Amino acid sequence: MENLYIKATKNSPEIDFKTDGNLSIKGKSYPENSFEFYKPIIEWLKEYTKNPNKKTILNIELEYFNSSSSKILFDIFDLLDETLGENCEINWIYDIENEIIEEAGEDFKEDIENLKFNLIPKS
Amino acid sequence: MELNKISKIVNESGIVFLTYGGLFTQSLIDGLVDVLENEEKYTNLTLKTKLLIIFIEVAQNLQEYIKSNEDFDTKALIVVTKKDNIYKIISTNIIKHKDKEHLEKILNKIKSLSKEEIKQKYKEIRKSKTLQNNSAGIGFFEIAKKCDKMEFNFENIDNNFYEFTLKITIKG
Repeated sequence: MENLYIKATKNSPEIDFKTDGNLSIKGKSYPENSFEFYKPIIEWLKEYTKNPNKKTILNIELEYFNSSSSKILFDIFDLLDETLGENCEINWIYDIENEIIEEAGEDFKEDIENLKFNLIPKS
Repeated sequence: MELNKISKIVNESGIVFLTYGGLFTQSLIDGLVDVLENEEKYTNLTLKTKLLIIFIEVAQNLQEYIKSNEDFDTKALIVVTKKDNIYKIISTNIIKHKDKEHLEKILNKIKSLSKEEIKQKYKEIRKSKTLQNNSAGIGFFEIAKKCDKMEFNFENIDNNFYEFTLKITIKG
């Protein structure tokens, strides 16, 4: 498997997925067709979870995102939760003054069952 | 066209910007998001994020509708205003009769729910394995979750079309 790197654009986040289990999504997410944008990302994750690292850490730092992206993020968390469980940790990183993104993180956390979902404020 | 008259209206209404046209491309939306992000001075980051997210939802709903209805001339208008630290996003576009019924159902349903119920319904829709680009449904719930007030109106134009107006209020 190869690492996956997608450069950030005005409306889509930087994707930096390494086969050693360190994953990162950073920026903004409101592409015209989020299904199309995230398709290769989800494909990569499905492949990765078939033969994952002992530990997987996903750092997510999004300034804002649209509802389609929200749906896809949910699918990603669900996939990791079900296939990796406790061997996976998600860090939801947000600006300490951004109640909207903080709330979004809390929202996602409510539906997580097995993996560790951490809310990390940044000042 | 008298530009100073337009200037007067813009200043009195507190218009931040408005855009009108038949093509809501992603680059246009990117540009407008840029304006909102950088030209305005916000009292807090939460307000700024609310405004950006709601604006994106409204603009992309229009984008999606125009894309799926290339068979008729559907021009859309979005206006963002600011007065006394209260932002309003107003959008207007022409829609087909059958879409009016569907939209009205969703919006009336949202009107009847409490903030907490809206949040729960939003999570339900998000979880469900529906069609990948079922936009209008979850989009309106996203808006309703974040804004202070969401108002809408359908004005009958003729047998086939309605003018749909959405007005969203966001307080600082």
